[in-house]
Amino acid sequence: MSIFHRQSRAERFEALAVQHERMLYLLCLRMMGSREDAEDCAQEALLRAYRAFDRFRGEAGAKTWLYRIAYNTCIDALRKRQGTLSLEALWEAGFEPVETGLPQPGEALERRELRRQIEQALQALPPDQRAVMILRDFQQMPYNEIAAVLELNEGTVKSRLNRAREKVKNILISAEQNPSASVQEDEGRQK
Amino acid sequence: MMDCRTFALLLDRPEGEWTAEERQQMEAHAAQCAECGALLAMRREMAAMDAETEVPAAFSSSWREKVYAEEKKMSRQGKLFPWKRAVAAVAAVAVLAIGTTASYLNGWGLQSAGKSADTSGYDGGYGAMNYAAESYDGSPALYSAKSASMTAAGADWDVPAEAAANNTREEKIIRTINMTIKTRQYEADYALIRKLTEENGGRVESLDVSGDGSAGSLRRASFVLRVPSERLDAFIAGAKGVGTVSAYSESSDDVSESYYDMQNRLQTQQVKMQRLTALMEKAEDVSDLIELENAVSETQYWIDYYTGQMNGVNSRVQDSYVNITLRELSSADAAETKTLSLGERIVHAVKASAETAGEVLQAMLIFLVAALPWIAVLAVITLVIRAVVRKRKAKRAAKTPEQGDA
Repeated sequence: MSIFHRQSRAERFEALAVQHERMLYLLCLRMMGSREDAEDCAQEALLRAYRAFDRFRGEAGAKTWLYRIAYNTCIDALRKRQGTLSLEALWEAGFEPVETGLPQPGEALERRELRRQIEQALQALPPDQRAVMILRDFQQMPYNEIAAVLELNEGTVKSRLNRAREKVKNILISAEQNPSASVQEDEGRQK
Repeated sequence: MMDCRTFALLLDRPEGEWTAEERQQMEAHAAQCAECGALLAMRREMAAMDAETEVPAAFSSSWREKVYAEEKKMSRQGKLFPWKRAVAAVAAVAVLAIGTTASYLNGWGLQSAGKSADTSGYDGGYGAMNYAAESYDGSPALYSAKSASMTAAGADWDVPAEAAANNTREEKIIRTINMTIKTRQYEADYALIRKLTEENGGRVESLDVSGDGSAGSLRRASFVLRVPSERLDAFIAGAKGVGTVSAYSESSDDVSESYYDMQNRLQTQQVKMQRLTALMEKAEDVSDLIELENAVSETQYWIDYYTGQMNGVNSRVQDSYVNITLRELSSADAAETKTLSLGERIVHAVKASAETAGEVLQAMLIFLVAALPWIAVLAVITLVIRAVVRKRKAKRAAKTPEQGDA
């Protein structure tokens, strides 16, 4: 009786991907810094994963596999963006980092400001350091999983994370000391 | 007293892994050291930012649509099953012959094969649901065991301290359901989902609808529903009667530990606030007052922060997320539905063939009507050419006897 039916490839993929769609979207959101780009990247990543679904054997674990595809998709998109408009140019054009998860009106203004500064500082990091920080400090992923996603060893992950944290800390401290200073200056100083 | 180096080492670990003693020491150090305090605030904010960010419903539905569109594309290009086209051609002929005979012999009407077949066949579909849940989500038994304790979740929404004082530590479990339902009766099942949601005290948080119902653009509705957790099982039971469930997953996230951690920290900050307020009443020195005001502002920030976090958790515990994708089935899809009997599937296959034939005839008719002006022009040109040729022939015929006479 089953010759006419089996669970389709798309249905099997959907059942797998739905477990991770939220975290993949959040990874893309923090990597890209805007909702539209995040939606595009996360969609593209899931489509790429679907096309490669036959080749997925499960050795790496679905989560690691999907995250790796999402990360690579973001890197590709960032490279394309680099060719069109630099981050400095975006800021000069009035670009504001994504405002997702901001506290509701009525909550502490300081907290809202802190989130804005974190978003800006995150976007000022090089993509490889940004990814490590997102996976560890935002998503609380264990080091061995981060290493598997980014195909690095754990030592490299830790050193990148330390550099990222140091930069973000310096940007936030300088923003606190001089609220009018722009992040571009901080980024310039970091370089 | 903890030093900055130890603080940094501990800060490297997720906060959920700290012991109560470590947390106390961390907070004590953060209160003393401005730089470490800022780092702690930053790390907490980073973790909270993701927790409080909602995924757009449009994204959830659009990637699914693209995946299914890709599947169709790959299927058309023969990438998925290269042998399928040849088999399909032979099978179509066989199904057409058998289906026509079967429908005559059994007198099955197409009407009876619709909704009742989808509903009665649910158990077969639910087999796939169990598979998905067990493969990816762990034991389904967990949910029923814990659901009873979830019913009163959120009772301490505004008075978390009271709940702690009473030592009634209810489990805080966030349940999320994802379902894909296929249906032949899209409009009726769409209305049924909305009705079920209302009946169970839930609400539609977002809805994304696409397709116009034609063969090339089947309809699809992606619901993001919020259903009270105490009514979630009743809602799921009701949803079982809607179409055929082709994919199902359920996740259950126990956030009790972090919730009650936050509650304790909130209580600490509330006690601190009371003390600071009492001190402010007694303070006479202006510099003391300024310092106390700063401390009050800082404490109020943490009270707001923890309250916001706890309200967010309570909201998710009290109202579970149910993501339902309702997909309209074509007759060809229905013919492949495992839950239908062989006869019903054959009838659907015949119907699909008839629909395809009808579509082809319609397309031909449309083409003919659209081509009418060109056909008319061509007819006129043909008539003119024919008239000219006839005239010339007649002239030639008239000349030939004249020449003969000469």
